[in-house]
Amino acid sequence: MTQAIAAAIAVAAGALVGFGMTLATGKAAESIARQPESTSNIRSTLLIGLVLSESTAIYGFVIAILLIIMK
Amino acid sequence: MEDFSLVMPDFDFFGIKLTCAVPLGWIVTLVLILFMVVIRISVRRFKEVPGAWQNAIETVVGWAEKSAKANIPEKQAGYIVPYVLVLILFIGANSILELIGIEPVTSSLSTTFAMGLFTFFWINWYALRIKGFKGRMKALANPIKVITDCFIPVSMGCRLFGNVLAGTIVMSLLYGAIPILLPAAVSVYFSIIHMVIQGYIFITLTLSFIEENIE
Repeated sequence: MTQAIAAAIAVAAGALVGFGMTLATGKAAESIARQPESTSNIRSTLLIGLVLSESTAIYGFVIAILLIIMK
Repeated sequence: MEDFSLVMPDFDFFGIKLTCAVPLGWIVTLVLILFMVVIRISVRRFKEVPGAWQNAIETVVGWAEKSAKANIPEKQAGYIVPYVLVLILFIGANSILELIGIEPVTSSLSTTFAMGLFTFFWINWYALRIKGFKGRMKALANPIKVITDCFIPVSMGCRLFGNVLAGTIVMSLLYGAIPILLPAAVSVYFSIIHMVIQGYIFITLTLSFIEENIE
């Protein structure tokens, strides 16, 4: 039971990461609209930022899985 | 939770205990090598006007070269192109393995961690080659930089592992809930596209980490 609660808390990191990723994507869309000529630069920067922030959610997920498997 | 078989079963190899991921990895490698041989036989000689196979190969290799040369100076970029190609082919082949119903090799943490270690090796190799021993030591004088560098294999391994495992779990839940028709449509995303995107991200991160360390 306590493990299930702990896993749920660990997975909750994903919700916050989703918020941050939408924020970053929105800003990238804004800057592409302002400067369409630098689209490729913005896209690669956005991708790296998204991936690095996504890793937080992945860590939460991996920890939750490990908590459930390794009793 | 037992239904998902998240922990791979062990495999007895002449008295050595191996995870199932190891023989599966051998099978994937063997299939890829056979694929290369078939391509080599079907495309005897590269022509001025490309045929179907040659066109496909040129697209993939050209993409790998372009993305490597965007981040790394052109002289040294040649070394990383085979690694980029191997990564995308290996991860792509794993996504097809998942479609047949076998667990993908990349859903084992040891495999992805090993791939992360290769990336770590390439980062240090390029940094030593381009900046020299002195320059590398100067960059590593900052202790935070050392910790960030040592954390790269862990973070890259966990990222690939977590994403692939998430896709596998979603698919197995779906197979349990609606076993007909719907999985065929959904697995195109959760098995193939999801995994190939993760491979692309792995490559992008490798190249950008190298670029960060040679500047």
